[in-house]
Amino acid sequence: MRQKLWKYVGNIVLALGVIVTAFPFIVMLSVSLQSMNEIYSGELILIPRTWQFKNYHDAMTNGNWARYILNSIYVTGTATVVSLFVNAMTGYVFARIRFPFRKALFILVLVGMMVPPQVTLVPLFVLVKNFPLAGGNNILGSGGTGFVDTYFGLMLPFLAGSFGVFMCRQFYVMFPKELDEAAKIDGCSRFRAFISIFLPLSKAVLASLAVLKFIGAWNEYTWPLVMTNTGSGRVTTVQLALTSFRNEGEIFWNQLMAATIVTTSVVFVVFLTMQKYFVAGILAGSIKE
Amino acid sequence: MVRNMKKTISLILAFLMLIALFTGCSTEPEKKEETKTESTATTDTAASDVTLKFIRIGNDAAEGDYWKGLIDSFNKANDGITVEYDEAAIGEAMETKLNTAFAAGLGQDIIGHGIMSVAARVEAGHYMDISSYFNKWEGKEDIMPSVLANGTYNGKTYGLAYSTTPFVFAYRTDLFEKAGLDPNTPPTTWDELKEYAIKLTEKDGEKITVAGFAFPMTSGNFVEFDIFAFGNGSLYYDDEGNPTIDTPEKAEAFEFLQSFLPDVNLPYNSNEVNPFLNGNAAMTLINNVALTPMLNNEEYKGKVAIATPPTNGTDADFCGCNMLFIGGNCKNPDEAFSFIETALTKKEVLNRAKVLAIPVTRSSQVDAFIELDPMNEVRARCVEIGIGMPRTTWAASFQKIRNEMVQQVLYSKAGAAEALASAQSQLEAEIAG
Amino acid sequence: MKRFKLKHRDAVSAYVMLIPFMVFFLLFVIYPMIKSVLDSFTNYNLYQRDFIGFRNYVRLAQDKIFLRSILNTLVFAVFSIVPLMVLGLTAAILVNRQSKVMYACRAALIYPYVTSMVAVSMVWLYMFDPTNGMLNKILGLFGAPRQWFLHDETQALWCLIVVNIWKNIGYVMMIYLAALQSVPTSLYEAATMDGAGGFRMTFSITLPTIKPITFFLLTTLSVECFKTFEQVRIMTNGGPVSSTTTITHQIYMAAFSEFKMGYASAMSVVLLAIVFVMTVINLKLGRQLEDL
Repeated sequence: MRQKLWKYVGNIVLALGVIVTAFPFIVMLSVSLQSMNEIYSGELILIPRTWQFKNYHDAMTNGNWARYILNSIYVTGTATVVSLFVNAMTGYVFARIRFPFRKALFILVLVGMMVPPQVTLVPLFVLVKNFPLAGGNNILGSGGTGFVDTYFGLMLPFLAGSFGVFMCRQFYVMFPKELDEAAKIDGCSRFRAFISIFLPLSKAVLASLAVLKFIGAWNEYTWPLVMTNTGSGRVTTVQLALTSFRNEGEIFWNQLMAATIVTTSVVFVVFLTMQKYFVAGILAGSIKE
Repeated sequence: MVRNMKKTISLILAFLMLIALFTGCSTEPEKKEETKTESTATTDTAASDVTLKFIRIGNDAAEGDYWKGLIDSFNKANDGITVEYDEAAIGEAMETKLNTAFAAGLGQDIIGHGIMSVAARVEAGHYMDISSYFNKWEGKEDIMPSVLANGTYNGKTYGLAYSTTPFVFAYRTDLFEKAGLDPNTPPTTWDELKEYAIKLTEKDGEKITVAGFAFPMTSGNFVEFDIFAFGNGSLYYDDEGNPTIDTPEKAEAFEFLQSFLPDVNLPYNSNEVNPFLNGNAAMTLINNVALTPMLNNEEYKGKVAIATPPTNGTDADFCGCNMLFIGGNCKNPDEAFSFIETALTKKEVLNRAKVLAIPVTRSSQVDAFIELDPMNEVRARCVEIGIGMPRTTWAASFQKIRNEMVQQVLYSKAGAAEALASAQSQLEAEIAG
Repeated sequence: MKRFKLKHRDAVSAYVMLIPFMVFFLLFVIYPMIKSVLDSFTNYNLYQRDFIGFRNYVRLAQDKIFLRSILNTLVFAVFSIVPLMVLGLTAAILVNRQSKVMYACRAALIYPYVTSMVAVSMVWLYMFDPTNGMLNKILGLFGAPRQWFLHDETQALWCLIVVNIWKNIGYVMMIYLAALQSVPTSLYEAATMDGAGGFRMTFSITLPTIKPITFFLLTTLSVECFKTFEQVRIMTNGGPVSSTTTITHQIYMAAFSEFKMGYASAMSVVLLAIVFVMTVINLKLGRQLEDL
């Protein structure tokens, strides 16, 4: 009886939460279909008087959006896939192996997340530009443009960031001790144990990390801004393009919202695909009882 | 055991190679692109090319298209010179791009940027002294003095204006009629402004529904206050370049604003839409560009008029300005200046007025500008009496301190005299270092 | 002897496996960080870079707006993190069921987190608008007086906190959801046999098991809250009267508008110190270092 009551309460709370979080999305959708005059009326209109589907067309023809989206998918996707494996492996090492300086190194990893990017931007950019033997640079790092204006340059901060390491480490700490012992009995090396025992059990973790990384890289603005040094739009990403819906006095909210909805839907597709890895009890079969 | 170790190492090496592969992948499409652009740019000459990197502030499509078109025709007309276009949004984006590029030795050759950038970037060596080019320029005598001043620093010329954005005093003629005021005589003095604002304010009980005069309460750059200070004869700095925040004229401007704003205003900040644009205010001070959508809106056709701001004796206004500079590291200043010249011919100045509704910067074009639109007379006048942000290394600090000061007074956190004195001493301490 | 060897081998494989990450991390995160810490002892701006000792720090201690920003940031962080943790965990527990409806709920809850801050802020500016805003209309139905929200210096920061909570619930929910999946079902089975109800199970099994994740969320959320500035920049510009300016907003202004990189670096060292202390306290309280 009480169980059932709680279930009802839970469902009502959930429904309320969903309404509250979804409402602004409805506003966005509505704004994306309004004319600018309607937006300037200052009233919050939920159902546009005339449906301006052309906003989507206008927004997507304002620049080479196919290119921007493909660029973003390439950069974000590659950075996510590569960093996922490295992050998981590093997280495993911190969670499961005892070695000298472990504490100090782990704290360094934490500190790496705490620095505001505003102050490291210039030194990082200079380093990337003067990287030896890259982009026409000589061994001393001068002469060329380094990784500036390259896809690899765009990916760098996501490959180096420590958020994923921290997250994987915290999940691997939770994994049962029996896993290590099972590996030891089988005579596995540490690397093997990670690949064949831990990695297959990390689906839920890696799925959510992938989503988070994808969102983070997708929404990044400042780094792509400085990395695209020529105006050819070659490595322009969606977040850069999203800022072009304004001039000195006006923001074209309808087109901005239309473009936002289009670009977020890509991330959303990633989220929905990853959903199937959120399955309860993935660790259940791993331990022999 | 050893074998396992080897395996580990080789797998990790393989992984590192994978990363290297990605780097390789990324350079490939890039090269293709570059050869493509080069081949289009150098169809008619194989001579050694001068490539000029151009970046302009702002990234709206309309102005972007204008510049791309101009650059295309310039590149075609000038064998051996290729201008590459780039742009960055106003604010952080532009500053970050310039700072990182110059820090890494990749500084642009031609830079389109605003007044506030002048002093800091001249000191930093990002802008080149173009006085010698300017002295030989055909438009030397023609450029408006108020506009020319924006690009000078320590007696030398660094930038030449290509666009101006004056603030205008906008009002609703229909609401004037409704309140029994003559829509053809907007307020010209402070007293009139106050009187009109009170008459024009509409209330529903205690709630203001239509603001008589809309004035921001917080802002990223509180030039609306500066306009009142200017109108009372108090500028940003004295002849020696010392800041003049704490003046009796500014205190008077504060007292004037405080005497009626709370009764006639609907607050907004720089990220929100000015209530005037929503039809919720009868009068306001507004950036000329921001007013455009309202003027194009059928609903307000013939109901909006503009004028120069009401003053307390001194005819003055705030006017922003973007200029073309030559980068401090530019190796081909001759070619760079020839591009600037192309952008600033009489024809192009008027062309921008037509295409982008930007007020002209050359005196000889004012008449043609006024012919385009009856409202342009006011706009041209606003440019003529316009004053830009300070051209000093402390301009950004001034902006921050002034914004805080105005808010303190508007929110009654401090009296006018106290706020002005404290802002003055803060800025002086900042300058002293 | 054999034990030592085993340990030794472990250490070597640990270091080898750390190499791919550490190379990137040390080069592209730690090196720029050290540079900026060193910059905090200079007057580095666009045109000079002289060593000035601790002068930046002395000036920070007297900078009223900066001190205000520390207070604002602390309030912002504390009052964001606590509700976020509670609401996020509740949401995760509620949607931890396999069904189409639950998938839809998860999607809805995560949407604000996925959307860019610019778009989100615009929607909220609409809601908070004093003249025509949704919230004032709702308040009007109950006969409440008009609220100024973002224009009221006592309310503005709370408005930002509400938006922050709303935006980040999806993040907390997703991490907790992944954590809930990682709790071995055998633990629940045993408890069910003991006759434990859903509530007791949550408190006696789920929460203790996922403690490392709670620590992770507390740390990352405090880092994120301390780095908040975009929302501030877009919605209030730090006003009214500095009531919403945050440490990172001050850093942003100093770095990108005044170009005082040295001063900005000093501020970021202060920020780093605060977050670091918070994290260490967190570590100690949660006994998270013991397994290290």
